[in-house]
Amino acid sequence: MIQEELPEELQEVLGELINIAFGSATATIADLFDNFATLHVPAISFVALDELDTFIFQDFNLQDVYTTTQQFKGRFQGEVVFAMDRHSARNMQRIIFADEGPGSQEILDDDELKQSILEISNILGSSCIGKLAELLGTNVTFAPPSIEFADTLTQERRALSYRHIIVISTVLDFKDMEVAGKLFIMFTDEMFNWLHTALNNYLENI
Amino acid sequence: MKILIVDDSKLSRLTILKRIPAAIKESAEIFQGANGLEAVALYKEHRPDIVFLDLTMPEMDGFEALQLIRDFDQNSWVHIVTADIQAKSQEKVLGMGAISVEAKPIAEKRLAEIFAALP
Amino acid sequence: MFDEKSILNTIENGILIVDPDLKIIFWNRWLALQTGISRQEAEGRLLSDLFPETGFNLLKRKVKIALKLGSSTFTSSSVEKYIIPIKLQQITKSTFNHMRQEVVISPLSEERASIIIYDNTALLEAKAVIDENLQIMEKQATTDTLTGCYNRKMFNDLLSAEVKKADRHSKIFSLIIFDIDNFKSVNDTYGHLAGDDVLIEIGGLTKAIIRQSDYFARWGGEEFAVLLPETTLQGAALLAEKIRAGIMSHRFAEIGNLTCSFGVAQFVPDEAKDTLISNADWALYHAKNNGKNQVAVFENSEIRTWYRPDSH
Repeated sequence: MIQEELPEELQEVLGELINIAFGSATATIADLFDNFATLHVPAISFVALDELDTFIFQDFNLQDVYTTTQQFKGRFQGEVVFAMDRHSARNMQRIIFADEGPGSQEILDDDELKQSILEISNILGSSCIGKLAELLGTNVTFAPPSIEFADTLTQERRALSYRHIIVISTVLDFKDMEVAGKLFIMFTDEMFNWLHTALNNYLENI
Repeated sequence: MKILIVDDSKLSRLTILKRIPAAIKESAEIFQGANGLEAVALYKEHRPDIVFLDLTMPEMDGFEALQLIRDFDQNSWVHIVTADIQAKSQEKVLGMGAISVEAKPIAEKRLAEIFAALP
Repeated sequence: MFDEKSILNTIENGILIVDPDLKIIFWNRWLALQTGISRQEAEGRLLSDLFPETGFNLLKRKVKIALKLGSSTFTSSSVEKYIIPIKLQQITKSTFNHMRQEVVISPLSEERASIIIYDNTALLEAKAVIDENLQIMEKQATTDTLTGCYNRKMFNDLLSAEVKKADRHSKIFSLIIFDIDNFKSVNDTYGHLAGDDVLIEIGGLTKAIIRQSDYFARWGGEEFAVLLPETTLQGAALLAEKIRAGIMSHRFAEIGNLTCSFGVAQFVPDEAKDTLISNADWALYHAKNNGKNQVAVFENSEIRTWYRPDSH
């Protein structure tokens, strides 16, 4: 697992890069929807695939959690999973649809909720991973995101050889509402080695 | 010259430190703080010529520290170096009297420009 | 050499280029064929002018996000259905009125985005058929085809789930197992088809008596089982008696009257699922041996007759 295999100084570098990437993602969302969020340093943890379920469900209610998944490809590749609960999804929906005129906020249908979730996960995923890749001197492309049920998530991932998962606890702290979620970046051994080297390079060339 | 660098991340402070033009670094006195409270205290104690201040910090954040530094010294020269690149954050700190807002990680070239522009 | 833009016209997907207001800069041949709006008619006009009935807020937002983000945004045919309305022709006999579309919006420059439209109709139609079949299969896997109640496998699963619930949240529940008296002679005298009719009728009678929260299954040949969540032994025995009386007073066509024997047990915390089944089974065995057409209960490791019509 990363925690054991990545030296502390490189974990620190990763933390700082993710902090920058998340700042960029927050700015994209806040500026897009003409809003403002108080930025917090995102908490970062490392988990094994086996612990993913526990990790998702310790903070979320099974009936209430939505997860989306999106693959990214390039020299740095893997999959990013975003989990958020209904309450946060509703808040995000209000922020997205706030500028679409009166009345639009009242229509809180399920399709719109799913749209909002896909939207936020695409923006967070693309800008977080995109920025992280950029800071590490490469770039990535993204496949379309899709909504999945949380209970099949881990099961299907087991077939893939993701051994490393970085968990970023994201909070978008808007003026009067909060959108909280968890971003899981999953990748293989090979990518872990690439990340290790890239972080090392970054540290050496500060 | 006195330089104050304030950021809760050691790595962020190191990034700025390492990228300050060598000629300036040689003769400069450099102070470091890890939160807004330290920023204000160090500012009052040393009256630095230039400050690099992060926004997202524990104890006291950069917004509050900037306000206190500006209240204390109308001529303070503070650059914000932050991951918070929201348009509204930029407007806010520029309105409070910050000289500029720099996105992390700040580039070596940009730092050279900043020092060249010092009054 | 060839004009690179002409490739866009040979592709079997919709491709258009728009500005942030969704003014059309480019409209490929596929779109012209599908919508009946030619390139000359489309280019230079707003999408909302071409399709006044359709809302384009979502697309506008996606374009805005793609331009700001500097990377692609997407819409999914399973959520948004379609972006540009394209009526499907009658001959395709589609279950949908409009083409289902998967759309990728990518930034080209600060003020230009490309929109690529994939026709996902066939895929979603196939998915609808598969989903429907899956539902049927799921139903078949859990129900007894003759009586329409749960089959033994499903009942076992429900029982296991109930045991777990009982252990975790200290809930109580009870089990009834019952069996048609002298069923063999029904089959021998009136034939198997008549026997099947009896099973169906008893299934119907029982379903009408049990509560919504109870689970009812065909346990085996002429044996049935009822799982009663949050029900004591007393409550279960009362219900068993109700079923017994209901069946006894029913007139089966051709055959006339029939009776059943019942065994009832309540789940004891920490005991195994199989122990509960064998306790109820043991009570049923006792009811059979004690003259049939009666309810016997298992309580504190002992069997006693709860109700026998001739004992009153």
